[in-house]
Amino acid sequence: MKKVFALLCLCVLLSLTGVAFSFNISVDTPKVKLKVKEGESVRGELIVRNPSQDEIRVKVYLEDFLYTAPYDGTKKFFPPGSTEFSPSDWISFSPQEVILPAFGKTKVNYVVKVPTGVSGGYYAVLFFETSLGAIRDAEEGANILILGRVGSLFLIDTEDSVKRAEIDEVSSTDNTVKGKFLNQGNTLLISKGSFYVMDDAGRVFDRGKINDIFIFPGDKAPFSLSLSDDIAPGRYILITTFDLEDGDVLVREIDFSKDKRGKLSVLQVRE
Amino acid sequence: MKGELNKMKKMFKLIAAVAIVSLWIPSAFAGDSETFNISATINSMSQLNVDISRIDLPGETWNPGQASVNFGTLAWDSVNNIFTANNYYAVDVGIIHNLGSWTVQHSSTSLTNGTDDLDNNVNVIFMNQASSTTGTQLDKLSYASADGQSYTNSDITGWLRIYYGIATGSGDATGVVPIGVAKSTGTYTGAITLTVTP
Repeated sequence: MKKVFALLCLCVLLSLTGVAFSFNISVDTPKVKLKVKEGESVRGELIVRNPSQDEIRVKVYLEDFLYTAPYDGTKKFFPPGSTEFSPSDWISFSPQEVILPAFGKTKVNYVVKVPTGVSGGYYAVLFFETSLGAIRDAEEGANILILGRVGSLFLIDTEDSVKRAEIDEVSSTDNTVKGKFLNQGNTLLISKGSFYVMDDAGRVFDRGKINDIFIFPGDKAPFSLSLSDDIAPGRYILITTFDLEDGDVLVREIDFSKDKRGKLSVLQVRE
Repeated sequence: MKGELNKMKKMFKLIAAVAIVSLWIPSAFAGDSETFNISATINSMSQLNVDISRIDLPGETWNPGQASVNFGTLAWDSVNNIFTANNYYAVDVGIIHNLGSWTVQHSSTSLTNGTDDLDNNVNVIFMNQASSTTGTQLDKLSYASADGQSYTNSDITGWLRIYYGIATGSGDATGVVPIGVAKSTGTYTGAITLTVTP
């Protein structure tokens, strides 16, 4: 709500000054999630819009991407065909460049043709890029061109994609329990985690969120959760739940104790 | 007297008739009622809004709607023996996204004239802006270090504002130094790409 209010304030401010944003671009499907059998093709379309009063030129192109540390959604982009999870050779799209009039929109059609003999998940991003124009050679001094692009992630799973995860290296410092989250499957994992703390009698003493994790197969991401200072010394069970989307979850129980000085000790991790 | 009595009777009959009709009408309509299904679809979307403002010095006059970050021809400060600009820039980046979390990334190419670069002569300040005049500083970096900087929706509670300014020798970001005479002459150009993805 605060974000919407702040953005509205920005829009109102600019409208009062009689100035629109320098450029706007909008895409209707930020994520294209596909489950495709090897050897099959899937067709679809995306809609790109120009929500501004000025004409914009939009360049459409494909790149690969990987989630990188701290695995909170931060990505690194690569030329198409350069990562081990790249499906770029399978994806064709049209048009590759379009001029959108004020408040105009257009469809971008795509075809994903999955070859035979592939397994697991494959990932790319289709970018829609615009800028304000080129810097003229005659301009002196220091000039920086600003470009903006919005990406639609292509998350392609083949039939044998398997989600498998585990936690490891669980330890504690002060009131924080931390560890590593491992992607042991062959597809991307996006985890929204939560936890609660209870004693042997089943009484709940604390609950909260675990940081969101975006992790490719074979990667290891840090996770942490902060416990309340109010938990009294004693022995407890920390129930961690990592929601891996589409009904898949990883649940692990972490036995820990808290001494009179407030120090936490992780005793064991159980399924 | 008899006339008034008749009037009263007529009035009573009228009221009674209105009462009967008012009781009958809703039940009559209820007998013909139908159930309508109402549906609405909200599509997913991701939108990037960018505005570039030049802030002229002295006086800090804001000039929105700029086409690029153009510091123009730098002026020689004969007191401090450095080149300075008579302006700095603010780039406001608004993101509208309704599909959960998002990331905005700032990537840049070298600010170069083909021989030298100004990558360590420009300050880049990232702000989480709550209003046009209030914001919280997220990072203050050199142009070189700002390449690859990214923020998520949990970092940006309002909108992202990025300031770009030529080093002055005072209050610069770590690693940023003023432009001296050692830099070769010419026009320095670079590009910044702001990327929004879910």
